[in-house]
Amino acid sequence: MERVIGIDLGTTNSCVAILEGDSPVVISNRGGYKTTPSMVAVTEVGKRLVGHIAKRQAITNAENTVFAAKRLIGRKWNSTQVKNMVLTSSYRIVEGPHGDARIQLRTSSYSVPEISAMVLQEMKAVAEGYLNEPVTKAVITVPAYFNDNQRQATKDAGQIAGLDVLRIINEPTAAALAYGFGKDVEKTVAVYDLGGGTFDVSILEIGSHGVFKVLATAGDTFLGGEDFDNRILGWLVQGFKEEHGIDLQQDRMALQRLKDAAEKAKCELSSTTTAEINLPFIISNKQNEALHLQRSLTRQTLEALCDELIERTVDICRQTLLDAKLKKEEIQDVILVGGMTRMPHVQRAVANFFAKEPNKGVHPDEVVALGAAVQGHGLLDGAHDMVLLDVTPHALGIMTFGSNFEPLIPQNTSIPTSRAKIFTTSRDDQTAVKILVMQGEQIRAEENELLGEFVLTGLPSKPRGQVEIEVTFSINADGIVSVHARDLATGQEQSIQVTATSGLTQDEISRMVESAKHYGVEQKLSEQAERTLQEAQTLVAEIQRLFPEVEKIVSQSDFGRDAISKARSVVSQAKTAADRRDIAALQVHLEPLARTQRMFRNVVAKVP
Amino acid sequence: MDQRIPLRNPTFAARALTTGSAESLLLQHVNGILTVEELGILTGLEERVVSLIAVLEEKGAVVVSSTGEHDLLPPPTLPPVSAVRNEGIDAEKAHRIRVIFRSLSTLNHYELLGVTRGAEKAEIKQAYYHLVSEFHPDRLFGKRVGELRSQLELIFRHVTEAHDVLMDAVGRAMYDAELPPSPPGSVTRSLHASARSAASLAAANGASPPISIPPPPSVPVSSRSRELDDARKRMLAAKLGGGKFRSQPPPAPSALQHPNPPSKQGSTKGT
Repeated sequence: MERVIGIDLGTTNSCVAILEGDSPVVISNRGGYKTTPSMVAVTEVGKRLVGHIAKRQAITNAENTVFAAKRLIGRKWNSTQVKNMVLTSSYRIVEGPHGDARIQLRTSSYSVPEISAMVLQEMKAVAEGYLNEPVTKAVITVPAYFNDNQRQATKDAGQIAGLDVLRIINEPTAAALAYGFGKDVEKTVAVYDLGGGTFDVSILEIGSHGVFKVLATAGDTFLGGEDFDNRILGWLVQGFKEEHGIDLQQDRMALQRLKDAAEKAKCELSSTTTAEINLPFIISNKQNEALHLQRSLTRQTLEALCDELIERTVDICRQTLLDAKLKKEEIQDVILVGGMTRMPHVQRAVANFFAKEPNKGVHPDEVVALGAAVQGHGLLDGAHDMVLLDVTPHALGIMTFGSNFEPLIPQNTSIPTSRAKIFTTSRDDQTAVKILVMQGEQIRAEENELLGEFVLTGLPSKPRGQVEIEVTFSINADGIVSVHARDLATGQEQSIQVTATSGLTQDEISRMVESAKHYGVEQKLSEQAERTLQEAQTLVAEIQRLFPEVEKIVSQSDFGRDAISKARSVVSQAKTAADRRDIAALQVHLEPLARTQRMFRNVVAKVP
Repeated sequence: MDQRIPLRNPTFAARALTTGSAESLLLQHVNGILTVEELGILTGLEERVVSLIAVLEEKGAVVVSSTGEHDLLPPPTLPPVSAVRNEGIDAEKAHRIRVIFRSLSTLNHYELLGVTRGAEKAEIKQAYYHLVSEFHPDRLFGKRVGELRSQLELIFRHVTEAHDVLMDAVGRAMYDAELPPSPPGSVTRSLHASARSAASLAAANGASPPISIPPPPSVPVSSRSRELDDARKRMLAAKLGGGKFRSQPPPAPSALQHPNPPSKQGSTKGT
């Protein structure tokens, strides 16, 4: 049987593992290291470098060396995260032809999946070197809080690298799998995963029959070691500015050296209490004199600089525990994953929050790849009693009339799953509906991540609300979404595998959102609500029909003018409520509407 | 509902069918094994399936036996499905999937999980884990099993929904309120409950009425149930028989029609 590799494609480092016999092992790269920097560079002569070799030349070739590409994957050029990275990164991030972010290395620009594919290819080569045979099948991990676009883009990267990606699994879930695999434990565990670029926390139940069930998960895809480094970097830049009046951030090479030094100091401070930062000839001043940077950073200062970041992770843990409907005491073990969990301050914060010492038995850099290898083997072999029940980290739904987000699949639902709901048209004779597929937790549709759109055409020409459209959402075991819409009367169908929309500009998205407002589907109202709406609309129609006549008759008197203006306001309020489909408000307006209608009828009837 | 089993007419060319997509969708799923009711669940066509089958029959695309009696015979013109489709999965397992799939619409959440109405959370969880370890779609990962895959996915969804509803206090209370009371003296009927678990459930029930396995109802048992162990056979017969005589209350709302409203509301209220 063909071997499956497990790849932890990290923000700063990647790792590959395979199952040997009954236990997973990490494969060392050619340099003997168990992890490989997720860095890619292009040299002056156009040669591609990946891993340690790319890292080694990063200072002298800062502009053409990519690190932390994972922070860009599946994101749009216009997102705040990409904008921030454009400001701070030493390599050039440019706008792609479809509103995606691309990376400019010398004369070519690369899409982010292409860059990640180079790292994956390297990991594949590491495994092939060890196994002495070609490898094509892989399980790749992603942060649990990745959305569909980011997952798709990661899968694309795998394909570009020539890998058949059997499954995309969540990093904390993989860690739990490695932790519980082969042991007959029944436990509720929390996985705290603070890596180079992302933070995740998952709460899982490891149950009988080899079932790993994720109860809840949450995270922040822009919170990790990089941010700690940036805090130190900011502190260094600030100090230098105060001393010499020069902004080091303007110089790409200086920036890269600072970054390196910051990361090194951070790591050192996990075991020592003071780190010396010494960067001679960092820049020259206007008088062409060489300036040096020399400072010492204490653990205390570092903790003060990063306290807010750690506090954020603790807040997310608190929320996740709530989502899982568990109390701290019910968590039986806490697993620390990711290089950042070596920081004593992080360990302390986690221990404090969960009120127990975290487990020290797993290797924070390797455990995710090990879990991926276990899962890959489990899928193909099928002999092991092992089932992973993961959840979707974000709610999934569509935009309905009035730019509301209507979730069909709530957050933390076990996957694979699918849900169907019936919607209807929002205008008379509407023969097409546009379905905007979104992911997120916000009530306003625009504030969620847009995954894609599709149009269902050829609907029968019928009054508003009479066409029934069934929309079915499915999330497969990779966490990837597909949507299916069907006109129940004609059987007309339309479906999409939602693909990454990183190809869309913000303008296009706004336009899509805008056009969908006039063109959208609407929640199917209950019969009761439908009656209320119709009643109100009939009343409004009659009042409006009588309006000119009544106005003519009564406008002579003050009393009449007053009545007319009151009637106008009643009608306009009712119309607003009807447009918004706010049935509760409409109910309140029914009585005044009926009164106005009676009054109007009386007026018209009395005057010959 | 409709327990008749339509068969494809092998002499009929599907291309000659000049109908809507619903008919072709349906025809695609007709395999001489699924009943009309099951086809409705599988295709999402629900009740409309009855009239659509009638249309297909009129056009000569399918043959429908009136009572499901050809249940007892192997489909005359087609080779057994398991022989052509089920690569890498043993016949017994394939069979179990089909049996459970077929009874999904008639089992309530408790019956599906094989627990009593009074079951503790821990018991429900164990039952759920046991079922998903067998019926998770990953168990057929990468295997070419045709229809079985979608059947397994549907089973997984139903089982997960049952678990999610029953594990949530509010969701469970709402679900219980809608459930017709269980007939006095009856045991929880389930496709999974073995004698052992029935006994342990009885013990857990304490002062509940004495448990006695009901005698098998006097209805013909289909050939497909013969291979089942005794307990399962009895229960299955009761299920299928109930369907045939239409003596059962209408099936619980299926997940397809109602995407889990009780658990959804329940979980928000619960927090």
